[in-house]
Amino acid sequence: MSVKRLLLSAAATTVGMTTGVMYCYQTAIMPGIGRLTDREFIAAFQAMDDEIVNPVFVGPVFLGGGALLVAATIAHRDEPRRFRRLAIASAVYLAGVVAVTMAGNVPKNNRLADFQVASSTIQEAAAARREFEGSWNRLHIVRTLASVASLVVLSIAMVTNPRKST
Amino acid sequence: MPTTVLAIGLVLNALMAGLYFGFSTAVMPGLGRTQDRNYVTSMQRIDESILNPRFLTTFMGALVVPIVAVFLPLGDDGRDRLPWILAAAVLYGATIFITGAVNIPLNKQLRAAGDVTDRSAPAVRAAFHDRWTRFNTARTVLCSAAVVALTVALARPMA
Repeated sequence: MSVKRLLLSAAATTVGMTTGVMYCYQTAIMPGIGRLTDREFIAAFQAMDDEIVNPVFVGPVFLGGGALLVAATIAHRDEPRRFRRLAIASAVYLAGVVAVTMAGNVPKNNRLADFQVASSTIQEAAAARREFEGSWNRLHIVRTLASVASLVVLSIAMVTNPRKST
Repeated sequence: MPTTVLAIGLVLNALMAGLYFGFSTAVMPGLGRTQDRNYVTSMQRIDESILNPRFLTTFMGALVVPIVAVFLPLGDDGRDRLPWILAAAVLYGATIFITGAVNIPLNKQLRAAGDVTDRSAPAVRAAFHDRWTRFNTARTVLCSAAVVALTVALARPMA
C-alpha cells in the first residue's frame, strides 16, 4: 500500500474513532447521566473524565486524527482536488474538534474536577451542575458535528478521482 | 453514487466503533471507580437513554449499508474493494452477535434490578460489570477492525 493510501486510511480510522467517542457522549453518556441527581451526575462525570484523559485516547486517537489529516493533506499536494478536500477536513477537525475541546470543554472539565462533591451541600452541587451541564453540552454538539463533517469530507477526499486535476 | 454509500457505511461503523471505545476507555473504567449505588444507577440511566430510534438506526445501518454497497457497481476498483467490505461486514456482524448474546441480557438484568439501595447495589454491580466490560472490549476491537477494513476499501487506488 502506498504512503498516500496508508495516511488516508490511518486518518480515517483515528478521525472515525474520535467521532465515535463524541457520538458516545452525545447519544449515551450525557443523556444518561443527565437523568441522575446533581451529586450523582457530578461524581459520574468526574470519574469518566478522569479516565478518558489517557495516553491511548488523547495521543494517538484524538490528536493523532488531526496530525494524520495534516500529513495526508501535505502528502497529496500534487493532487489539487484531493488536496483541497483534505485541507478542508483538516481545518474543520482542528478548529471544530481540537480547538473547541481545548478552549471549551477541557477548562470546564478541570473546573468541575476541582469540585468536592462529597463535602458539598445540595445547593452547591446544584449550582456546580447548572454552571457546567448546559454549556458543556452545547460545546459538545458543535464538536460532534464538526467531527462528523470532517470524517465525511475526508471520505469524499478518499474516493476523489486522482486523475482529474481540477 | 455507490462510493457515497460506502462512505456512509464507513461513517456508521466509525460511530459504533467509537461508541464501544468510549465505553471501554471512559465509561467502564470511570464508573467502575464510583460507589456501587451510583454505578448501578448511572449504568441504568445510560442504558435507558441509548435505546432510541436514532441510535438503533446507526446500530443496524452499520451492518446494512456496507452490505448494500456490495451490490452496487463500484467501478473498476470494485473487485479490489469487495473483500475488504465483506471482511468489515463479518467483523461488524460479530459485534451484533456479542451484543445480542451478552450485553443485551446483562442490560435486561440491570433494568430488572430497579431502584437499588446501598445494600442491594453491590451484588447487582458484581453480576454486571466484569462480564459486560470484557465483551464490550471484544466489540471495540472487532468494530475498530471493521473501520480499518472499510477505510482500506474506500481509499481509492492510486492513478
